[in-house]
Amino acid sequence: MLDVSRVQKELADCNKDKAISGVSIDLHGGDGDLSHLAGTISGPVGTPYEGGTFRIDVRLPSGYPFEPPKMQFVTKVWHPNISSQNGAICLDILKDQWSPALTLKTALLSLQALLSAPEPDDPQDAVVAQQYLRDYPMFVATARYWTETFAKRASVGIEEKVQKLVEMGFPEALVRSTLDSVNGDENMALEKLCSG
Amino acid sequence: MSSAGSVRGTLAPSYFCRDCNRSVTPIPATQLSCPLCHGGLLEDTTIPVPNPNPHAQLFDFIFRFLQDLDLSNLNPERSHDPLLQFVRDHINGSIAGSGSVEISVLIDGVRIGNEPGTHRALPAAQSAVDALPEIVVSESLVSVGGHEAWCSVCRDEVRAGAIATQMPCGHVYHRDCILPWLALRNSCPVCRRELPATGAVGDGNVGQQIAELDGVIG
Ligand SMILES: [Zn+2]
Ligand SMILES: [Zn+2]
Ligand SMILES: [Zn+2]
Repeated sequence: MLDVSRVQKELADCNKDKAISGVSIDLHGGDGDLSHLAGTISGPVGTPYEGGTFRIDVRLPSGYPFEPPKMQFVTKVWHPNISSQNGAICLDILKDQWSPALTLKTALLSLQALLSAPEPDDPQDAVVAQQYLRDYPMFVATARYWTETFAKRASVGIEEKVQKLVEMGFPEALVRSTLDSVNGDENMALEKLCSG
Repeated sequence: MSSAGSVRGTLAPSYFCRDCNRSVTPIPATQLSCPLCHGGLLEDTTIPVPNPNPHAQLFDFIFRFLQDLDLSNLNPERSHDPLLQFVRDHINGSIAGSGSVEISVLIDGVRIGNEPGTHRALPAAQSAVDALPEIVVSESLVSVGGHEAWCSVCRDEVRAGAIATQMPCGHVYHRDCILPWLALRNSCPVCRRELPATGAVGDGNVGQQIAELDGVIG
């Protein structure tokens, strides 16, 4: 059985210093389901991911925290260890190096570290890895372009939009998932929230 | 190229504990107290240095990540611990440059037990689990060191007077918290030190039994 009390503690703990850590995690939907979460990490400074906000889909298996959380990039990202097709991640602490002393926060911080330190020799995406090894400047340019295209547009000013809609009385998790579904368009989100 | 000093300044704020008369690094995310004696008489001795290292922020969060693993609380006598060794070499030691090499090393350090030939995913031997002592948590265990007073599996406090299971490394857990893990791996969740392989041939492992009980595996 999923350790609900631990997960709740983890959520509070992770979001306590999200402004400093650059990672946060919330419920995925408004139905209170603790086994499906939505994480965000900000792209590390000094990397092609700088300035981007990357959404991570987080699913907790019933054996959590004895089994690792299942994490996948929702935001498209160009990185040797992350599938450019479906966001699948190659990171050992999410597999056989998991320990229950690790947390959702440390897992997200590790993803942030992975963005800073690609390991092309152990790739998830062979095409990206090959480019990284053979034409590094092109890799950087592509990764930067993907950050601009996919990790910025929807997230520009997203926090202000969230705050505005929450002040109108909608629950935050619902606001976020709705904004997500309409690519950050505030008016469309409001329409959806009012009609739903 | 930034100096090791400036990197260290960023990574590990240095404080002087008036109680134990030595420089210490407080445990983050708790109220400021000495990690050794829990005294609150701390003096900030961090030298404020402008940090030109573009990766300083990165080092910072990897460092925080490692501290979440409770490395700051590891007993210095445990010099065989590869994680501790790595922290000593790469964080407290001489990170002089600012390239991704160090970052890879930092991350590699977390990847212990990943080399070919090391045992993976082995449950603890039943005899080793049976041999784990159940201790009554004493006041001194709770008040010294911080990390012993905390079960890293459920992230709840382990209070003085409570019964807890103590691993050979000294880390304590609620019995119900550590058993499901030992059914999967024979290591301490915090420091990854392995239980002795006392299981002789024919000795069952705790894995099968627990897995049948609550289906943790799978
Ligand atoms: Zn002290
Ligand atoms: Zn516990
Ligand atoms: Zn331990």
